[in-house]
Amino acid sequence: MGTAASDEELIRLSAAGDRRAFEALVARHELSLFRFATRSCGSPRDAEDALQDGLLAAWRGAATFRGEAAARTWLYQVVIHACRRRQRRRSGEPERLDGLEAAESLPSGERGAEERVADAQLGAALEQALAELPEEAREVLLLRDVEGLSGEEAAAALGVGLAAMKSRLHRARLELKERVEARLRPRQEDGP
Amino acid sequence: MKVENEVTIAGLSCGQVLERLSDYLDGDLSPAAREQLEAHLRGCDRCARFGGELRGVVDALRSHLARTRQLPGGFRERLRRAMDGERS
Repeated sequence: MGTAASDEELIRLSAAGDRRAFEALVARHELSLFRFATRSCGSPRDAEDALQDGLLAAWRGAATFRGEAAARTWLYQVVIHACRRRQRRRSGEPERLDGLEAAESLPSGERGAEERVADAQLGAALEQALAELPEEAREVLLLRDVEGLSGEEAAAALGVGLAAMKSRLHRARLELKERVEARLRPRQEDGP
Repeated sequence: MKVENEVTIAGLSCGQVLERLSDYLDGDLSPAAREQLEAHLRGCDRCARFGGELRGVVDALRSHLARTRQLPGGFRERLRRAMDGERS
C-alpha cells in the first residue's frame, strides 16, 4: 500500500475488502484516536475496547462512508459512538483517570525541578478536570484543543452545527479553566 | 454573559468580551471585531488577565495532553484477529 493514497481512497479500498488499505488507514490515525478514546472513556482499558469496537465498525461499515465529511472526521465519529456506548454500559462506575497521568505529563529536557513539578501539577489538574466534565464538554475539548481538529471537522464528528460546536466549546473551556484553577489554588489550610 | 461591575470600553462590555473570547483565541473574529475586542483588552486589566488565563488553559491542553501515547501492546494483532471474524 503506497503511503501517498488519501484517507478517502483507503476507505474506498477498505470497502472493497482490502485489509491492507484499512490497516494503513488505521496506522495513520490510531494514536490520536486512542488518546481521544482514553480521555473520553476515562480509562486505557475501556479506551482500547472502544477503539477496537469503533475500528471494527469502520471496517464493517466502510462502504457506508459517503465522503460528506473527511475520513478522519468519520473515524472520530465511529470512535465517539463506541466510547458513548461503553460509557452508557458502565454508567455508575468510577470514570476517573488514575495517577499515572501525572507521571506521563512530566516533560523531558533540562528544565529546573520546580518548573517540572509545576508542569506535572498542571498536567494532572488538566487530566482530572477534564475527566470531571460532562461528556459533551470533554468531547469537544478533546477534538478541538487536544487533537486539533478544525471547527468544521469537530462539528461534523459530534454531529452538530458549527455554531453549536463553538458555543459548546466556549462553555467547556470556561468550565475547564475554573476547575483547573480550583485544583491548582492553594487550599486555605495549606497557607501560613 | 453578565459580569459583575463590568465596564464598557471600545463599545464592548466585559460580558460581551467574555462571550467572544473563544472566537478571538481561535482567530474566528473579523478584523474589525478583533480590533474592537483588543481595544477593550488594552483598557481592561480584568478582561486581559482572564483572557490570558483562558489562553493558557487552552494552550496547556494541547501541550500537555496531545503528547504521543503508546498503543497498548498487541492492539494491532487483536484488531486483526477481530477483523478476521468480521468479513472473512
